[in-house]
Amino acid sequence: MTTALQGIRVLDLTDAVAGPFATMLLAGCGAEVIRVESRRHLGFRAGPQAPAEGEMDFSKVDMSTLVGTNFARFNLNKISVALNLTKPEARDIFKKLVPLSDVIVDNLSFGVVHKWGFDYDTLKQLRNNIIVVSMPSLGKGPHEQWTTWGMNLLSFTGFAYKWGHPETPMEERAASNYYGDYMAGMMTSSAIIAALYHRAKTGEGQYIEVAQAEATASLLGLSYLDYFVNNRVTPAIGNRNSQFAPYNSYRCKGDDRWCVITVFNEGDWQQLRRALDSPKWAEDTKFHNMEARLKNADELDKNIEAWTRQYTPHQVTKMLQSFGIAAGAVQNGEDLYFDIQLRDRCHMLDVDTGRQGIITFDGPPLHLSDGQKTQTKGAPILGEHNDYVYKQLLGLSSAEIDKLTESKVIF
Amino acid sequence: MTDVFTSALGGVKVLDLTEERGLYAGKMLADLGADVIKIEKPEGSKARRTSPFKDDIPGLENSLYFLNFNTNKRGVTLNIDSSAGRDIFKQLALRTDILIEDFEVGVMQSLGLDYPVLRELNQGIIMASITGFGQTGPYHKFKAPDLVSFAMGGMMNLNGPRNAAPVVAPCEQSYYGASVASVFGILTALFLRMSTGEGQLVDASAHEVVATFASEIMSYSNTSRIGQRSGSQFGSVPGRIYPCMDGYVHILTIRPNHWKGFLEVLGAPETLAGKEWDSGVFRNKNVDIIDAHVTEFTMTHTKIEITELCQAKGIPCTPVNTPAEFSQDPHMKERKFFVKLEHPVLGPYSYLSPPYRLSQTPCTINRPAPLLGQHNKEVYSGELGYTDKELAKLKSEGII
Repeated sequence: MTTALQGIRVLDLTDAVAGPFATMLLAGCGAEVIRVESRRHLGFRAGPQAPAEGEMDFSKVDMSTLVGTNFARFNLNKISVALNLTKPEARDIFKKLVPLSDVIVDNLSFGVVHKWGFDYDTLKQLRNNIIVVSMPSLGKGPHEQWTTWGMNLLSFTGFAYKWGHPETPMEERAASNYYGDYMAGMMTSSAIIAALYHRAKTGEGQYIEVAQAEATASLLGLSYLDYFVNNRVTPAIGNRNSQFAPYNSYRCKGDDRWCVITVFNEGDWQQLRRALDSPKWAEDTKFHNMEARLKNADELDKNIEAWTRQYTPHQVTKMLQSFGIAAGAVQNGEDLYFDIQLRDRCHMLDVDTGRQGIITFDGPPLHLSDGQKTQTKGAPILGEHNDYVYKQLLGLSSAEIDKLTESKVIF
Repeated sequence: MTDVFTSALGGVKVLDLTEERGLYAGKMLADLGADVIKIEKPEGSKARRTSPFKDDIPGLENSLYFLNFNTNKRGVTLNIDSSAGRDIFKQLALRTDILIEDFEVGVMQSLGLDYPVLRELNQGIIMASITGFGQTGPYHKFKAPDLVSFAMGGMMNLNGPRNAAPVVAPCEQSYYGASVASVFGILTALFLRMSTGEGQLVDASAHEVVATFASEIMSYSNTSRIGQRSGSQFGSVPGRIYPCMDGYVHILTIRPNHWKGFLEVLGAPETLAGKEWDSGVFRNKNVDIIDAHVTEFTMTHTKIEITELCQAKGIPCTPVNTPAEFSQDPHMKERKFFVKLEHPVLGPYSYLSPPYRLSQTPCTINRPAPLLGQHNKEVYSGELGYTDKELAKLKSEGII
């Protein structure tokens, strides 16, 4: 089995979710992704509650015990070299790696790689067809110095405003997830492969910027168009739909258990009535066509929920899907772990993470029949591949490595 | 037409049969410079009947939904339910690099246009099928509009208010997720094809992509805990959307330096002075005390004042915007994220630039969504060599 990105080397200067996810997707396709990282700034490696710089002496920490689960998740199949880029000698070593590499990706705070002298123009001098990728929060502009996490950008771009029930106060809108990070990550890895394709055809490298704010906003294109063309901002509509009813979430048997049911036409509606054993209420003219059902959606939903409450979410799914109605369980974490569809499609990866034992991870969001790795390696320990990088790639001697380690360049 | 020197995917040919779930995949490939031919039924795609419409007036050229997802594509009409239509489709498939479709599982097979058949015609073809549950597995026949994918994928259960129903994301995000994942797969397959000469079937499942976003599998396998809804709260308190003088702000104090900086913004209140407040666990237990301090501050300041005060101390904080407010933000304006386009029927309008900014092969929007059948002549006469007389016959027979 060939992997698609075999022979492509990526220098990975990313942390958190969007960046590591993007480069992990490349690693899963066979690219050699080298995390260039240091004890000086552990970021997600140490988990979100990690002490800040200067608060403890990281030189004493046993790195093999320090694996935040999100770090473990987003750094599968990568290798790691310890290099303290705050030191000028370290930056010289990095520059020696550039001619041996194809892609460089960073999502560090705005200005950091520039300060280190790793801007595109400089890197291009070292290898003229290099692909340099930057994943800032907002990118160059008036807010370039802002620090944001993906959740902030859900609020900043309009997602929080639109993501809720109509009656949900703004404080409780859904803006506590990494959705924007995942999407920015997948968009970036796609753009990188497009750039690699272009390079293969023309020999030309380039600079790519994907600002997470823009990646996130582009997922609300329709709301923006509605504003630009119709000059309006429609409020949140929750799980309902302006064109179809019934179309909503419904409470099921059990604590905090829910299902969803959608009806798109009269055929679906007739099937739903059959599935519910032709209840009396459904004969009412209040529900006799889509327009009427949309108008009386509250009463309609109440009647349907009286039925769904008798069953578990998966019972509802099975019964209604057998009648050809698009229904589904609102699956929770436990359901996902045992999901027979995901298992049948080999979605999950059981990975030995070392000290933390075997953990099950999501595999790549998409499986190819050819081109991806079939064996998964756990996230690397910091500096696990120092010998490979320093000796094999750069040809340094053991004495030189010892000296660099002593001066905390390799750190 | 784009070429290999000015566009990342210049010269790459794509046939786009998608109706909804895969529309963004075609758009993304087109924005990256591929020549994407959108194939619609002669009566027009389902997307042309999807709201919102300009001035709320339905019409084949009035759907903003269709407009949104079809920039940079060329458009032809073709009835692939007819055998003459399928013959024309096969001529196009012979010349294409990529085919994307989002029909229910089995439809392409029933038309005699499934991957093994197309591969016989064109060994290098990369066919992406973008479905709710994928081509295989016990649920592959289940119907899966966005709401079902978001629910079954586990994202829905995690999002929404603590004590109310879980809530789906706006604007059909499972479709975006499945589309972008499929583009990642398509481009990987395209890159691989340069060395193997072989195409492949890319089988994208919205369910699987959304499950990846939910991140629950790792967390359940590691801790046996089930994720709960928390409104906008993330990490340690304060870490949510707060009301302020002129709207709302989103403040996070995930890392220790965020909290330290935030104390300075609050003016180092005596109540929060003890070392114990540095612990996120302790703060989460005393949420009422913290929230009283936070709201006292936020309710006396504006969104932008709060954001600037917090950002000066390195605290992740932003205003909460409507799409209208975001589009007027000076940062987005300076970056020219919004561009002006002209549609022959809808007139001039503003739109978002593609978010992937490539220096040598920039993604520009060269044309708005095609009118129904706009490129029939260009494609059928210009590229397949049909005469005007033959085209007229195909039209009268309802093939195009």
